[in-house]
Amino acid sequence: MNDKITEQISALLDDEIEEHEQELLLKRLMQNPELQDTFSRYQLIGDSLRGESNASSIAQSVSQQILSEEAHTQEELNSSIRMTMLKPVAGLAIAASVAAMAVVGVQNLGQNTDTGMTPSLVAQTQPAANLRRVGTHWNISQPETEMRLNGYLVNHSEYTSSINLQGMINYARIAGYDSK
Amino acid sequence: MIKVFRVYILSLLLFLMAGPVFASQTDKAAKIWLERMTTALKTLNYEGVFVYIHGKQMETMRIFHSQENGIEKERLVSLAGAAREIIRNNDSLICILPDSKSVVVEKSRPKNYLPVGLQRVTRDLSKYYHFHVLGNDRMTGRDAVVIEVSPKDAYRYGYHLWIDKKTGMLLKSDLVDEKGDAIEQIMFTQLTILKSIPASRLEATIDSSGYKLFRQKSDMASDLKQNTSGKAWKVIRLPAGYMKGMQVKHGLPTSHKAVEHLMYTDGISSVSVYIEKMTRSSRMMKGFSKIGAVNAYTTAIAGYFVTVVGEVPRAAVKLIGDHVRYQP
Repeated sequence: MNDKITEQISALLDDEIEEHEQELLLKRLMQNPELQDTFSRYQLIGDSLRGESNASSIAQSVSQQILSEEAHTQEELNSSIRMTMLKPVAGLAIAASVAAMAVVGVQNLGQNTDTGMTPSLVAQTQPAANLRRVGTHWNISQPETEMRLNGYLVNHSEYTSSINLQGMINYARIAGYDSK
Repeated sequence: MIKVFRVYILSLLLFLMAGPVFASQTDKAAKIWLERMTTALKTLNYEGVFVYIHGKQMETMRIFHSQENGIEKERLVSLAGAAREIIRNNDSLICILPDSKSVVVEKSRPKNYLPVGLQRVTRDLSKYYHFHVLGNDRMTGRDAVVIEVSPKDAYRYGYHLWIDKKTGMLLKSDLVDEKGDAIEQIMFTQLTILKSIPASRLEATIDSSGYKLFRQKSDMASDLKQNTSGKAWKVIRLPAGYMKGMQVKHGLPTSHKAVEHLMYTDGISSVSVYIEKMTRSSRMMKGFSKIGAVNAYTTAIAGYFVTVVGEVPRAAVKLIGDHVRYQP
């Protein structure tokens, strides 16, 4: 990997890259898993050093660009399942990076009172692997209460789906529910 | 780079449009986009992958949605961790949960059960929310318009919605709390609008034989029958704009006894109150709990557990929960 490209990656993350360079770089990123690894590593390290993050916006524009340039084939559908297993597949590892960066981006999601993730955790190369084990669940720990709350939540989602702005997507809470 | 800058331009726009002078100009357009989005979510045939982010959690889901001859069918599959599936068709809502080897079946509800007077189109939502068109952006590889819905008091959440200009489909949604922080985000990373969805895509791929089945104990018909009785439970004080959508008593798959259910809505936000008789062995933690943007608040009144659940701030579930009364 030559220095010019790593420099460009760094510039991309610092939002200091020329547009024509960015296009070329994204093309190369899509074709080169090694570069994608570099990209996500730089991203994670940079964010933890700065203690803040504009990762989600960059990650978003990168993922959008890729999505708009790629055809959505069934192969890709299958691939995105692999993505969640964090096994970088050519042309897809970038998606895994985006997933990893989204974790960092999450720090932007407010929770000012929250201590957030420590930089050392963020800097790990596979934060999503740690993330998965936590899962979505109620912030309490009493099985009978949780079960009852789940029942209420499913019922509430069902009764309010016509009102709710986000429609069926609200069931994501239930589908993402981790029974620990 | 331009795309990155757009985010900043958006924030600038947000700042500029916050004044009341601009509000009325974009208010109507924003509402039209909202209605278009609501229709698109219900009527389009689509399949896609989205990420659901809340707190430090991120979940990846695939969604299939079809609407044919007025019948809506949906399937949601969790792509990471346990392969949970949720299937919703015209008569049931099925949750298949491989990690707990269980299947939860609920009756599905008619989408338009709300009295006409309570439906969003007929309500003056501007009393409780500001509506703005924030500007244009690109999302999921599509040209999108960004709409902001912001509450006028602390009893409801706000939304930033990225809506596909071509189809009206929701591409990204940020649920924003009273401090202006996005506490829950949904973003499609891939979305395909189709003429139709093959039936096989709307069926479960998990073999759930041998799973424990939790089934709802009463059907919709008996829900309606009981609608006229058992009005002893009341909420004597509500946040402004919330009106009662319905009051029914029904069996829930996860509760032993029939549960009284009161639902309140302002047309965008909604809150349910569940009232369940305590038994000697039943336990329920009192106070606040939350999952994603959903807050719950449990109290005990006259030998009953009273739980308020909704995608609303703590202040709203508390206000409602503290004003539930049993008045036979």
